[in-house]
Amino acid sequence: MRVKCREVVELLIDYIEGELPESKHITVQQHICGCVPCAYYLETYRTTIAITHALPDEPLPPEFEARLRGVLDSWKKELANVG
Amino acid sequence: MADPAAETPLTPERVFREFAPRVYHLARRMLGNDADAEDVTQDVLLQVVRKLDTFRGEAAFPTWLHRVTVNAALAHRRKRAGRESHEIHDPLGHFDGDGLHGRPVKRWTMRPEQIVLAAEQKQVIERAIAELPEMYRDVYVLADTQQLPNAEIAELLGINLPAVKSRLHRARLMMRDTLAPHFEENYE
Repeated sequence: MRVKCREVVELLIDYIEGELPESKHITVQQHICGCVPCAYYLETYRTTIAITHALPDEPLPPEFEARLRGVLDSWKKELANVG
Repeated sequence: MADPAAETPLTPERVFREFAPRVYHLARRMLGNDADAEDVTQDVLLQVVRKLDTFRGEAAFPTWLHRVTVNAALAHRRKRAGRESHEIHDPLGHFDGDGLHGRPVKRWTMRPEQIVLAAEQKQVIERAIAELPEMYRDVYVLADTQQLPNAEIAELLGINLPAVKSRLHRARLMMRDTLAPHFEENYE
């Protein structure tokens, strides 16, 4: 059974995670093999995920790190006084 | 073999050093601004270090930290309710009546298996995340930056699994649309 481009795009999340029933997976795969816009769409959908995965957790902004360190040190002193 | 880092006791110092950036960036991406993220990070770290001596089972620490951070970010957002001003665009709105792509789909300069991000590209991606409507942003941040399983996201946000998948897919489509002009190959 043929599928349209819109339906292929709607199914991409299940397609890339291998969660479509086998017959549907094959139908989507065949569509993508014969449709350049959908092939590019799938590739850029995957790239969107990959570039987001690649975002690093940079170190804290230095001013905030210093302020946070101060709060932590105050808490430690408070704790030592209570103890 | 046991991971030596896993055997190091969880101390306030270690939590600060190893986990503060993770808390900060999760909160920043969920809340969309630095000032709110700083408030939440401070609250979360104090909450966590105060309870460290009652915490058992270090393997579960990251899960616990995610929970505390997500709850704190959501509570912070509730306090400042009404500030959301993002318009929701329909990422499937550019298909024509026959279900065909209504505009050209171009390749990008990067492929999923070859990702090297320059500083300005990181900013473009961070800005695109901040522009997502909150209900989609939360799921996207937890799934695609934190890489949490969908079931854990459902539990953290108090929504069911189909809702997680549906929001995640829409968020990815919106992100793809927003990022496309910045990453498309130039054919000229």
